[in-house]
Amino acid sequence: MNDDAQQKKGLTRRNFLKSAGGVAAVAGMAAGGLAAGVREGSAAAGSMPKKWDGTYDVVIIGSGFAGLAAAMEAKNAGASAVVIEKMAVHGGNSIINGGDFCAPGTRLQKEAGVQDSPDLMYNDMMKAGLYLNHPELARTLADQAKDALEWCENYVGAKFTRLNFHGGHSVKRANQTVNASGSELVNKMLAKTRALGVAVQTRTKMERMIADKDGRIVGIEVKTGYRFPDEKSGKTAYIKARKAVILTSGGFSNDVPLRRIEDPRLTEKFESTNQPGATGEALLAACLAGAMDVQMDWIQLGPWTSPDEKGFGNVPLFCERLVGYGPMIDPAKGKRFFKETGNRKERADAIILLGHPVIIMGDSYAVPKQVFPRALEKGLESGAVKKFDSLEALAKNYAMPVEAFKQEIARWNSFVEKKKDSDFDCMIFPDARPTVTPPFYAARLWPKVHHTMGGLVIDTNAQVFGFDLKPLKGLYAAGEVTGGVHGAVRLGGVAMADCVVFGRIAGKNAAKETAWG
Amino acid sequence: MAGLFFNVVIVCVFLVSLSPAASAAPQKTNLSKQQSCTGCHGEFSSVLPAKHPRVAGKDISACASCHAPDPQNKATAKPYSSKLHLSHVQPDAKLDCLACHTWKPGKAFGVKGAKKPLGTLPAEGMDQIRQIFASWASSKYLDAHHGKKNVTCSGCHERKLPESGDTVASDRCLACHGDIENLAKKTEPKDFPDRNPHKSHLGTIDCAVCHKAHQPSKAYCLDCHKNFNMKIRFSEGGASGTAK
Repeated sequence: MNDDAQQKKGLTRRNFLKSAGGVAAVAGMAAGGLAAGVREGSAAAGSMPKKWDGTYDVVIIGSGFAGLAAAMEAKNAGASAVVIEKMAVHGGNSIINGGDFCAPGTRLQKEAGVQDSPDLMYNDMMKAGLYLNHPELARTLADQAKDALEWCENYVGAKFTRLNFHGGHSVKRANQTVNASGSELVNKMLAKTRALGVAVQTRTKMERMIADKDGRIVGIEVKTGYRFPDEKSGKTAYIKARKAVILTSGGFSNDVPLRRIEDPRLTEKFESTNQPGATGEALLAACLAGAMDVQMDWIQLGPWTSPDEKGFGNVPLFCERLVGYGPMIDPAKGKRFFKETGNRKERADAIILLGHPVIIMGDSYAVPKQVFPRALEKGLESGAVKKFDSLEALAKNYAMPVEAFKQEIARWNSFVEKKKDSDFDCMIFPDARPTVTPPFYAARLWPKVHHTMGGLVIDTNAQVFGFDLKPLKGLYAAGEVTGGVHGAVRLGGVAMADCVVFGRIAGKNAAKETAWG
Repeated sequence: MAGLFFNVVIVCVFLVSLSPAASAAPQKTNLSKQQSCTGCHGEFSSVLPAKHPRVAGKDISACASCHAPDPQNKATAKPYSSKLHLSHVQPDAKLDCLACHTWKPGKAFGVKGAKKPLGTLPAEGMDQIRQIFASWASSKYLDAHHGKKNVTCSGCHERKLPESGDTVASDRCLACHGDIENLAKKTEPKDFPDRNPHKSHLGTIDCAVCHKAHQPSKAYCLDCHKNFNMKIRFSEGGASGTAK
């Protein structure tokens, strides 16, 4: 073979895109910030190590719902397994999640007399996802969610005790854990995983995937004793995956450089509801090893979060109960600017366009009636929700033009009387009343990055696909690190179902792989 | 940070007489310049029990004919005691490690006069040891608190030379501090019982996530729950705070 031919062969589609991915990663680093440091050291799948420091059939990266579900299924299918977690604490976002698990036809739905079906859930997901969902993945999720929930109850031992509603669903189908937190499930999963004899190693960060000469993933390079986010910490080690690596490393909502590449509006001005380790270097390491990404720029923001408290906080519970009862105001003008009952994406986009935080407010009729007392109490305690004796005091606090604001409230009140909003067509609920009764309550709103819909391309077996559109042997993925399941918008309560359904699939299939060595 | 050479069983009587109550207090001047035992203590006999055989020599290698390091704690006869460190790294005793230890950067680290080195130690490893011993002797953090109670490195760490990224397994903490349920009872807040750092939605996490030995401790809860009224001992402000 002459040099020309070699060069041609070298420039396959996969190689070309791999180098393009590399450029993106470098650009991300140049953009600065915490996550750029986190990404240092990630490199293309490269040479095999001389010696492996540990050998398992299946190596799982990430200790949230998806990773632990995969670990249990792999182990129960006869494979040896290990779970690595880069953070000092297990559970990732799963341990701070709200504990709502959407599934159709569940026990709690039957008890509440709710009629539901996998078809209905599938349709809701597709509609919210603007039909960009990979239909076979959405279908798999809707079809298997009930079984996954029952596995969590009966096998893992987690308790689900309440049925909730989330916007965009046709019916109540969110089965809530007993403590209204994903920790109920993830902690029980962790205990079960360990009881099965699978080690969960914290502070162990994957640096790169290791492939053989045919591109099959055969193991990973890690840093043990890693102290997030200090990239100088830790010691290099190599873990061999005889059957497969399963990537369940979550999304990248806290990765400013990466999310700016995908959605340039999402600068460091935007906080995230996620845990600090929700960065994208593991996803990119998979891309550098040949895995393909999809729909990475569909990044979900919650329009209901406050810049005055950290993470998800209490203001979302204040805001979402008040829409349709009280107005949302642009403090620069003292005027309304958008339909309060619009969907997540529309409202977040409208606030971002203004470029500064806005106000959601209610009076002493709407707030005590609508807002869960504990959320209000906690919001007031932290200062994210404020209480004012008069509209003037409220306007003054937010440096609003007082007269314009008072006129706008009068205009809003006239819409409430008529139950029709001529300005923005806000849905005004039948029991809403004009905003006149002091004291008034208000909170500032500024969207926070909540979920990254995009990620690695998988099929219904949780097998990752490469840039050659063929299975990337030896690599499976599940949960938020994957893309296509939710399309443009993930509905509330579907992340838990996504993680458990595809985590289980990945674990079972990884265990079935033929060992390479 | 590990303590292979720091926590051997006290067989050596030598040590006993080096306790703070020892009658023969060393001269405190120019300690940093002293690289021998006799430079401060005069004759060895001034710090040794009356029945100890006479020792000829100036530094710790004089002891090597009878005593040896016992890194694996296999209780060979007459090991050096790690507690020798406690009396020599006091804040006012600015002795360098190399007064008693031998070291070639990136290579062997050992005790002067001993036949075998304790292991290899890179340049940054030596820096780390110096910093951590200084902290252990005089900081406001958890390490010095343990030092005062005679807890040496291997009370918490594995018996090996320290490496970057070393941590402490929680069962080592709980062996002395009781089980987690009891700790949770002690730290249950009166106002918000569900804001208990030892019993939270995180389940059982490593003690070392919050309790740091060689740097300020910090309640991990506060990373997200900024407004919690939660204090942890040996935090940035020193030892004054108590866990509530």
